[in-house]
Amino acid sequence: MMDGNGNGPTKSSASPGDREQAEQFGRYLGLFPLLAIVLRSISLARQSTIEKKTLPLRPPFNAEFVLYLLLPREEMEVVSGDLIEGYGTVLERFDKRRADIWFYKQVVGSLLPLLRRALLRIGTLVWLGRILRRLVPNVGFALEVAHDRHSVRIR
Amino acid sequence: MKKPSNYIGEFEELVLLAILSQGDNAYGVTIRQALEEATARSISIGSLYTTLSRLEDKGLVESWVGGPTAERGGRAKKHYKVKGSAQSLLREVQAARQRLKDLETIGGI
Repeated sequence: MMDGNGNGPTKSSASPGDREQAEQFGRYLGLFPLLAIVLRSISLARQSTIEKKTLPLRPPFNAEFVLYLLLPREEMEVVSGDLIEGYGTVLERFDKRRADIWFYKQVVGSLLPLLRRALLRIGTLVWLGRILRRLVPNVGFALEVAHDRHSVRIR
Repeated sequence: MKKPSNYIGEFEELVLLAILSQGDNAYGVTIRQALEEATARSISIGSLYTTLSRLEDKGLVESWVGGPTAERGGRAKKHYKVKGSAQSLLREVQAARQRLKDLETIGGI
């Protein structure tokens, strides 16, 4: 320290009380980094919670596409809506990866009954077609003749 | 109007009872939850909707599509209601079951 005339360092006149206070202040200063880390981690946790809540409900594309292939048009929206509702709950509780796994599980579990129904529908159509062909053997020929007549009339 | 069928399977009966238990809030998710809680087994959404459409075909259940909601990603809900004919059918099934139970008691089994 310099004296009033600028003659170099002089003896410190700090009392022991002042020194104690300075040491205490130093200790508090040392706590600042720790406090900063704690505050930062709290803000990150809050941010991740907000992100989780505002995540768009986007289930795995492939799994949803399988549903679209197997379901009739009127049921598509309803079934995928039900699954997305459950997906949102799982996403809120866990994370996206686990929610995706849950969604895949639901779709795989539904494959068998949906495939069976689709095959039954196709089978019924084939069966009806066969019966019709037996009942009206020349139905294709009759249709062709009718079409030809119609086109001749147009000409 | 479709004529109601007079035969229902075990799972169809459970689905009808689940719809009745949910009252006005009977749609896919709630029906499935009620079934899973009651039977303590996992029900796939595919088998539930297959059964619901079969019940509709039999004329036992009626449905209507509600408005889209944000929690479902903008998709609509389909609500279900058990028709009066289905309720009387359920009562018949219960009565038949009771009669068989009585016969079993008479037989001393």
